[in-house]
Amino acid sequence: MYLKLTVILGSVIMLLHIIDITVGQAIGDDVVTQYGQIGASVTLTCGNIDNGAVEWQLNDSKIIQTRNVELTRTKLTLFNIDVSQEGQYRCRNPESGRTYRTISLMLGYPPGKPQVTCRSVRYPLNVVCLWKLENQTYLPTWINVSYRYGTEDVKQCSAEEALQGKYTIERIQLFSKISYTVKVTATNPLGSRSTITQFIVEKIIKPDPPTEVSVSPIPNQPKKLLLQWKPPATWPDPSLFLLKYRIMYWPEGSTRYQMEEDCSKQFASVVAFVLMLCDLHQPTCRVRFLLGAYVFTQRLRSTIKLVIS
Amino acid sequence: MQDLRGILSLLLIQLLGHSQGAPIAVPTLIGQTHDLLLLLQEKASALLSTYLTAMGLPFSEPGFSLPDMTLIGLPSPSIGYLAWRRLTDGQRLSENYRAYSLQLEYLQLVLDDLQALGLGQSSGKLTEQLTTCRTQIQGLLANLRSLLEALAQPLPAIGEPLDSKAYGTSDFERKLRGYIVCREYVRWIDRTLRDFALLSDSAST
Repeated sequence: MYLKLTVILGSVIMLLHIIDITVGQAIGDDVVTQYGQIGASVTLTCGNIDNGAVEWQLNDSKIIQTRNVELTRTKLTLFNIDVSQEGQYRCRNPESGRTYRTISLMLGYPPGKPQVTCRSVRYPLNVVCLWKLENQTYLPTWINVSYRYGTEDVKQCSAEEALQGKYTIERIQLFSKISYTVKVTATNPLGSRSTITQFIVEKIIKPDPPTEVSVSPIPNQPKKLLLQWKPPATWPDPSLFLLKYRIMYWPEGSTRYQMEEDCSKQFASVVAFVLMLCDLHQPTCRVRFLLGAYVFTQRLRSTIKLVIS
Repeated sequence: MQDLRGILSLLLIQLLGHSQGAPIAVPTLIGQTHDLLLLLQEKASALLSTYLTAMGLPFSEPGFSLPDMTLIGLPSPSIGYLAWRRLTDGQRLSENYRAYSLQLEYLQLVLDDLQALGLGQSSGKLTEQLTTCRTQIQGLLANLRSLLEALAQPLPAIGEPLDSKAYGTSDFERKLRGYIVCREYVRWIDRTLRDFALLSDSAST
């Protein structure tokens, strides 16, 4: 008896499976994905139509002709699309229930212009380029990044690096002042935008701020302070590629007595004219220091703040 | 002031070139060459400037630059950072020796081209600067030679860079060629200065 039951159950399952396949073949056969731009218009086309009637549905509810919807037997055109119109569109025969075609409509925007910034923090070791897209596209977007040095061959960045929004160009050529050209292209089903950036490495140097900054009094010189620092750890070659430093200092709350000094060593004995001012007016005094590293005469620089009492 | 410095630099070169007495110690020679290079750096920029002005348009256009144009026979100082760091002292000096030997030849060609362009008379200042430049390079080469000898390195082979077919004869090509030679000279001095900064470091350790 159990054997009979098993056989019957087995056959029923087999039968359901066969039905499943055939039904699946009829319905799941023609599914396409289409992309539309929000605010614009899109036309969906029906296929495989027999001689019966045609009805359009969005997520199981019937679509009717309106000001923004144009229906013909084979085409559905939507004007001035908004986000709520994203979904599964079906064109079907309402009597037989047969679906001719399912269209999955995804809505978004074409990519905006990629914003690219390239900097050499670790000159002369490498250049790092960062990019991001101007606006959210709501659709899968691919990024392609390539660069070339002067008139040499174009080099491609890998897809993984492109997605991370960051690429490092190694093996910088020195002593040449030939420009690098970087091209970032964003592509999605609605369109493609590129940005091309050109730079000479020496002009985009931006060292990190100096490290291990300390302030200490100098014995027998109460009006002076010793400010010491080290070059940033990310600067590869401080002995051959010299950094310059700029120190600015002033009493807290007042910018009137701002002092500035340029320095190429790693310490400075700061004449604390500012401290003299402090003594006169209040018992304790806070002095703010701004210390930055820079190269050549560029204005690009990184700074750190230090406050002493 | 300029003339005085010019005279002093020539004197320095004479002294260095004719020092057949006791050889100068390597670190001293490196230091002296470094000082010479600082002088040459100023002169090199001035030379390029004078050249471009003398050639008229489009060279005299402010901001004129054709960075990607090169001459086949003239080596470029361009080199990757790591490769540059890893050069041995011998290789470093050899590359410089070869470069300036060729610069010397090409600068003579520029002088000849000036004559061919009919600018020999009107550009007296330029001719003078080019001639001084060549003399200074000869001094630099003498130093490089001494340093290579001190390191027991052979002098690099220079070959025959100026064969007749490589050289176009149109006026424009001559002017363009002169621009590239002067520009490469500026870039080479920048490179050599850093080379010598590195050599100073390693000589003092």
